[in-house]
Amino acid sequence: MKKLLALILTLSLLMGMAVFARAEETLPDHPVDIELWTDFTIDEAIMQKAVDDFNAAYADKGYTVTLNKFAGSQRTTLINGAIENDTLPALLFSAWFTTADYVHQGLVEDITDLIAPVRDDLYDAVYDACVIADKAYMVGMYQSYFGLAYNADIFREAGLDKYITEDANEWARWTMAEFEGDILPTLAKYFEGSEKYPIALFAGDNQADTFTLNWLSSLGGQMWKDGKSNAGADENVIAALEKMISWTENGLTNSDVITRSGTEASPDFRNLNSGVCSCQVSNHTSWLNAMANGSSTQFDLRMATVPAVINGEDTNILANYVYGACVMNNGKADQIAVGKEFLRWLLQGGENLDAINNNAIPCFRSIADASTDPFVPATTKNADLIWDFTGGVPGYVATRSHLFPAIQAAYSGDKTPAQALADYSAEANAIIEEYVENSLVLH
Amino acid sequence: MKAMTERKLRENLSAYLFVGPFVVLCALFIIYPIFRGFINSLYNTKWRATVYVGLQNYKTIFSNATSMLAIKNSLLFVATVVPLLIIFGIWISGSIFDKRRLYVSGVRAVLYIPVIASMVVMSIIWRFILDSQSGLVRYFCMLLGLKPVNVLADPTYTIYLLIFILFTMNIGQCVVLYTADMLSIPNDLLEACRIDGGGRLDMFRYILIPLTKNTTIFTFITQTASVFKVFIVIQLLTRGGPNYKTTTMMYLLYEYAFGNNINTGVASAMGVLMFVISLVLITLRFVFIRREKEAM
Repeated sequence: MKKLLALILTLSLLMGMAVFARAEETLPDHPVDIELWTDFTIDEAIMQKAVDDFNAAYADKGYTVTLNKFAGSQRTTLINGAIENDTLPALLFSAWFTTADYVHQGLVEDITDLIAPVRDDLYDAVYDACVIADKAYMVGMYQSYFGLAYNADIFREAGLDKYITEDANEWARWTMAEFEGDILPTLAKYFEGSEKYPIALFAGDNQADTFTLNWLSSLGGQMWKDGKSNAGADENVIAALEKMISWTENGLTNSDVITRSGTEASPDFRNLNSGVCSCQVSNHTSWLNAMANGSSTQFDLRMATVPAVINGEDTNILANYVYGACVMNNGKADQIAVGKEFLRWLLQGGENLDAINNNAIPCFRSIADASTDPFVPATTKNADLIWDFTGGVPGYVATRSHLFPAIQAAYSGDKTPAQALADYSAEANAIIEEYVENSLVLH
Repeated sequence: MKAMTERKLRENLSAYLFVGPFVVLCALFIIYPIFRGFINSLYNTKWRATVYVGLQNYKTIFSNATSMLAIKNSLLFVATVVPLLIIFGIWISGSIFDKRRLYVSGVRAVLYIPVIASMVVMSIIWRFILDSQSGLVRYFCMLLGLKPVNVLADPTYTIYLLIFILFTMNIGQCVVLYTADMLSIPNDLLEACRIDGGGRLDMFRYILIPLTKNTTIFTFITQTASVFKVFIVIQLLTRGGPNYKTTTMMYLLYEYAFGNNINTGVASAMGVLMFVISLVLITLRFVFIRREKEAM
């Protein structure tokens, strides 16, 4: 018996060593420099610390990671330039919905095995969001619900106290009737005679267009159906666009919707030029940080869900961004190996993974459970309001190029809302078909 | 014979050395990209493979309504802005060149400021003026008790506003060139015109326009190329909107190359088309000049 136990133990040790040796074998035995690109809405110091810690841990191997943090508005230009110049980074930390198109183009590595050890700790919704054809291409780092931010100070001054939640961490849930019948008109009256306005709508480009999608879905319309764009065929989406236009015509929004970019809306809000603004949780975190360190105007920043009426009943909706990490298939085996090693190292846990996750809503159960921030449970209890704003359609990012021109066409009177959305759906469906046909991961 | 060749080579060596760097840089950064752009326009590289598609990328452009609108808009820019620049360049210069030096310099300096200030700065200034939420337009609308009008969002008229803006940004350069040319016209000719009883209009017709022909040719070539490539004004003021109504070929090329729906092959094809159209326009101008000379 003892001999048998000794044999099993020896064999197990040998197998373990073999596995370990194989893992080591895949790593380059020479110095490798890789880049980590990110558009995370996160304090750069948090990402830099993670990179510095990895560089220190792997100093003996000569692996060096260099951080390149840029604004989300620059992402497409930078990545497309890198694709053309064959200079893609080994690591990309970004939102899943912006990365999925690159997966279909064969530019992202399958990291299912790499995620396996932490799979159970990841929220199912987070893991599932980053899976295409049963393979995981991104590991979630944090989630960021996308709803509304409002300035409670302005609300109080305007006499809208009853719409402010008692607990500062609670997300307000206004009804559509309250929102368009009382909140927006009251704010419009409060701002009358100035350049300020109740809420920003924007269609100058596709920045923050998720906010527009939230509103287009607010009357129960389905933007996507059976893997296709459905906006042009759904009366409720058309009605929602008509409602948005009527808000602008009635002075409830900014007047320059057609030329306003989503990136211009939040500075206006933070400079107290509007009362309500599109906002995601990670923005909320960084805006609060900016107020705390005195680099931005102080005000009582609160969050709210998007009012909606679905099947005749008042409800609220939210979009959710899963921000995560992926390894890019840049054709350089050494860099890919070190990129995967970086993720493997990061997923072992510790303060770096905690810090990134706590930037907004954690993707890992253990980190969320350990969080002492009361804003986290106050936020996650709205999880049932989340709708799938991408429909999981291949080529979603590419379809975005056609949404804002459609909104512009409707707003400028060049087309009726129905015609504009029908044309958008036709363009979007042509792109989806191209992606389905050519996708390098679906076939 | 060999000694003669060597001597000739020695004599011309300094000239070759002067020209050499330009030839190398030109080949590297102008000739090669043009050649490469043409090659790229025959391939599709979107799906991790370089697939030869022949003229498919060109077909894509000509079968796409947005691309055709962009071509039309680019040609409209050239067809309106370039003649306006030439006409107003001659008119303004002809009206000031024989005035007091200080006055001439003052006018030239004022008109040249937009050229020095760069298109980005000028576009931002125009945005400050025209923005319907916080611009001067809003201020005046409110002063007059009117609803704010977003003049950058009209599907019909915004492009004409952009034409005017582009004109204001480039007119300074034309005036400087024409004025310099007109100042070099011998005073005898101008005096003779006056003695013969010629008025301002005659001076324009018989002296200024014919004697500044070289400047007109130069202005036509440089401004055609410049206006055809208009991008910054579009990007900063309308982003090609509303609904592509102000999209130009250059803007669409950028969208194909760096936008969400990347397609480098189509972007390259658009670049080649721009090159060909510019070449045709400029060649036509030279043909016209040659015919004019032959007729004289």
